[in-house]
Amino acid sequence: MRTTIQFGPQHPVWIEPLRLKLTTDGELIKDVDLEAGYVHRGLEKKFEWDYNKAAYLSERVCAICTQHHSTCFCLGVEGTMAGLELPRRAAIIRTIMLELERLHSHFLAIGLTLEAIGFENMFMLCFRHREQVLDVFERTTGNRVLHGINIVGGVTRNIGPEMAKEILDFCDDIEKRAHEIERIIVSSYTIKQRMQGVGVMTEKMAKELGVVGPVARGSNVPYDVRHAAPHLLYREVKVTPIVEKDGDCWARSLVRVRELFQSIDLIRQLVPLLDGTPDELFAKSKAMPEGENIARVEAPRGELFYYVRGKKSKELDRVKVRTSTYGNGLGIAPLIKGSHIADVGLITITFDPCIGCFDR
Amino acid sequence: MEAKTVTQAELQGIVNGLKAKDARLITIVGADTGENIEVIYFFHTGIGQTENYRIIVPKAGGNEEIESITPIIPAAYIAENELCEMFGVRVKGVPGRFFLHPSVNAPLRRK
Repeated sequence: MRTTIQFGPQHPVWIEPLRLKLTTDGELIKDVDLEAGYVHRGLEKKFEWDYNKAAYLSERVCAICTQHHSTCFCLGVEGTMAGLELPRRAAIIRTIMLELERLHSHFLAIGLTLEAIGFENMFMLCFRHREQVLDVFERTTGNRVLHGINIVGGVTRNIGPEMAKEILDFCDDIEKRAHEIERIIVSSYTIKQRMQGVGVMTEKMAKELGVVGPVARGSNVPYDVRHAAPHLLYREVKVTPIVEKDGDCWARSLVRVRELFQSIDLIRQLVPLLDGTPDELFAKSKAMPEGENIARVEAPRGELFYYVRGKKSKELDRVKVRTSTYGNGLGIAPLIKGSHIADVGLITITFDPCIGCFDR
Repeated sequence: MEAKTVTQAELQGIVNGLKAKDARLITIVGADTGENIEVIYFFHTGIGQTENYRIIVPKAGGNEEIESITPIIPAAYIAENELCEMFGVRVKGVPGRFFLHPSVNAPLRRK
């Protein structure tokens, strides 16, 4: 007998609202209907205003990858302003912030994944480590979540020598903590058995559906914007995409765990570059945004894309935000179809869905 | 950023060719320029490379219709639906609703 179950919009496994209409036969999901739009805020329309204020607005698209959004938006607008060159120090600071943000986002995603399979203590542990990253944000930018340091043309806050040392010390501390998390997860028979072989996305499927970020890399698709379209300091500090072959929940989570160490390594390479770089944080342009430009950055959840069109005035003509979850959204339903009801939460949470990003 | 302006018929052939070359669709962007709706397709074709194609759809009082590329590249599904609900440009073969309630009609379309 077939039964229809409503999974969401309010469900304990997700923080944000998304609705899955599951048609089940016993324990098995036979059909899925995905409904989004519960937090649609019409942000693309709101972007048609002063580009200086819009940098702050872009942070509000998503509170987890706030720095990625504002960086991507600023890179997009800066490309439409003739003669505007981003100071090197600002580029380094932006890149350090991007990697710090990846750290805290991955700790959050790993924690939530473990919570979805019943390891609440591990969730607490991951969040305790995430707090350390947020403390660094508070020390460097003044804010734990919405940092507000990116403006078109540069950044508003410097990282001085003392703060640089503090960040390097933090790297040593967080590396130990990340190793602890890795040891617990990788050596745990229970976690592995619960996640291996669940929600398998094949390489062919990942390419067809155009998924991005750890979801794509967990399915053996080496697509990482830091490598595929280097921006900011990634032109100098080379990044090799971290790839897992199996495409299941375990592979996606493992990519995130391995990327923690990659980010720590990148921060360690980036911080010494601040030494000797002129203290210039901001470049001013007399030109107004004119013409079209696109910008792409690798957010923790995957590729983030901004299209910006200026009209030679302070107001922008059109801004399109294509977020990572927007790219991954199509992959959710095919994986759930054919799985058990008990796996629905786990499969969706390994996508690290951000519905605020998805709906905008 | 450069986008080559093509016709709808040309676009189908181009997308088929890009798929054969293993290009990935980044997204589809719609923009209202007053008299026309511009639809721009962004493809990632290699390290640091993108290919962008633009089709221009003259406004026809909400009766515009374009060909879908979802049958060739399934990744276009959400973007094509969003184009439809945001700009009122029908895309053949897709429902045309994904995020918005049916009562909301083409909010990004200008008068």
